Amino acid sequence: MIRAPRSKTSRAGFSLIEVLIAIGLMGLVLGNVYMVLGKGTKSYSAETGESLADAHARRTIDRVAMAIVGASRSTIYDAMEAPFSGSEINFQTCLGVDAGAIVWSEPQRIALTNDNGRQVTWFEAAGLANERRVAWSNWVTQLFKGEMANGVDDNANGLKDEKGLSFDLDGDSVIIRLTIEKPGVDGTSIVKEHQARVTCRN
Amino acid sequence: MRNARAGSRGSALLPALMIVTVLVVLSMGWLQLSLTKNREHTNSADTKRAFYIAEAGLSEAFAGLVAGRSGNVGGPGLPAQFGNGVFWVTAEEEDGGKVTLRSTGLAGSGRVALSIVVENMAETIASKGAFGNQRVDVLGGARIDSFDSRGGGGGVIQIPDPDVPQVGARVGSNKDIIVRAPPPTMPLAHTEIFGDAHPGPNGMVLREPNTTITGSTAPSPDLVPLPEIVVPEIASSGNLDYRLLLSPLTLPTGSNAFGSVRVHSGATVVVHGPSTLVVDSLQIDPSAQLVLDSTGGAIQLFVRDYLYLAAGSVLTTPAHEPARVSIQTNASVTADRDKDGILDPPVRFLATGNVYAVLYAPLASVSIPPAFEVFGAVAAQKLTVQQGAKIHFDRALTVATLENGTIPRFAGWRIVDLPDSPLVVLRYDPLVALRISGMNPPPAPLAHYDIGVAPPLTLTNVLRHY
Repeated sequence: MIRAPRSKTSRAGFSLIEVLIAIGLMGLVLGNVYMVLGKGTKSYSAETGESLADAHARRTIDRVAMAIVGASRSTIYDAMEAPFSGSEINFQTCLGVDAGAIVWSEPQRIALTNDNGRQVTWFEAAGLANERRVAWSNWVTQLFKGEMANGVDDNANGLKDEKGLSFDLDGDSVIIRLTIEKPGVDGTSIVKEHQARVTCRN
Repeated sequence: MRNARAGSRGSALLPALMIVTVLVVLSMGWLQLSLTKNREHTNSADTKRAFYIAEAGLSEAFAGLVAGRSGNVGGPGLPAQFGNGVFWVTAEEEDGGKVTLRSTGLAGSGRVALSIVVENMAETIASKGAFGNQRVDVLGGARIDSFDSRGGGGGVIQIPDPDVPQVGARVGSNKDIIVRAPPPTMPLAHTEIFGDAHPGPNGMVLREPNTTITGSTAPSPDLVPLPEIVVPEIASSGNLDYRLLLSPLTLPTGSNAFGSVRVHSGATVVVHGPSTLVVDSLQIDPSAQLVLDSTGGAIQLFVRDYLYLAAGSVLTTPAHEPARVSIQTNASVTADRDKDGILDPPVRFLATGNVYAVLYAPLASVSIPPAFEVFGAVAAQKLTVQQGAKIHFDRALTVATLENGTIPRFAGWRIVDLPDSPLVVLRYDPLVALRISGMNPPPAPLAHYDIGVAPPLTLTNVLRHY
């Protein structure tokens, strides 16, 4: 088979200017794509971080609430009424009935622990040989959102200088307040606060 | 020229594809994030709904106990519907008159199981069984056992299984309880109390040979007060002397009062509930009959001065519900009432019949003869269970109900493990699962079970349809 000679037009290339313009346009397009991708990724990460922080805060306060809801109000101590509050609560829960008598749990405690006071820990038989403890969160703030350690109710929620985890009593109810602070993208922090009112069932 | 255009064809494809890919990836990411958040919120909301539905189940079961039901509401095989979810409650009797209620609530994908313990014990005098304030004498060959009128057996006493210890009867006194040996004329007999015999704080149980007490004989920690009978004030309709042989006299329901009532030999008087009947004296002659029919409602018979059911007379209580028939008397004076020169005690139950009732005579001695078999409870100043006589204590009288004026008392609440049931294990919306299975969960108020009736346990249809 005899190959046909190439025409002039098929051998014609791009001029330098055309190549530079093409590269410039391609750079603009890729730059935009990169920016969109970067912003999208950042936004996605931020949203994911917010969502995770919110879920973590909600799960933690649900755990605290579910532990306290079975408490006997008469066994609760180390908790105060507004405008005071505590970052620790001690209580006992009902375990059922044995040989006709109601059985109560070992004393339980939920408190802020660690040197920085940023960990929510549940204790059973605290300080005894059979002590059990479970950490429920490591991201609690020193103080509740909007609060400063100045003896004043800065966030106008009726409590003075309440901690990142605080308990205050209202009749047979315990009001739980929790603020979580987790690191987000770009060194920012994500702060989520939740509160719940729990009526002791026992 | 055409070839040049053909050579540049497709040069925009790469960036376009890249942009579309980026947008698709971002969109998928956002969609996934949104779905995850939505699922988390839905699960959280479902769990909260299930929690409150389980609490509603506990309240429903508690109301059932108050109304005298078993406390079982629905079951894992057919739960009760409540709002957008379902629940079932199982009741389990514990020692010390306590009942544990376990409620399982399901809503959407949420599942929560809660439990409460209630003290379901009535502190009425009827709950004490066979009680004598000053003494109880159980004579030779007598038998005191128990049954449960709530069991649907119509008060039939079950034949005891020799391998199962028989318990549940109650005998009590504020002083001594004396359990006599059978007489020589009953060489094979035993005197039996199938349950507890609690004397007073300073009293004791004196037992002769050939006697059986299967329960505790420990003294009561406190004296049991005998409550005063409060007789209702009802205008008297005068005396009633009934002697027609072939035509029973039926008293109207509601409140009635008479001076003396005497039913002569061969005659019959019928009292239908609901009825409150107050009489000064009541005498049923030999072969006369008194029928206390509580089928339509409770009957309270108050006798102020004198109660005499003569030997050969018949007392009948067709409804077999001891909690709904009471005979209460304040009679206390021994006198010669029939002028035969012999003193007549204020209360005599010499009649024949199986009597499902609570008998209460706090100021008089009561003696239960063999022909007068009591299903329920008896409390008196002094109580004698004669040779060969039988008292069958109704354990239903120990349970707090509205009818006996007491309600169960809350004792403890807790979260418990979820039961291993198909509806719980499969995280489908329970209402959808039941509908597909062709099952229609009843509303909560219609899902109560009586004592002795077992709720459905299995739900195999759900597994088959899914």
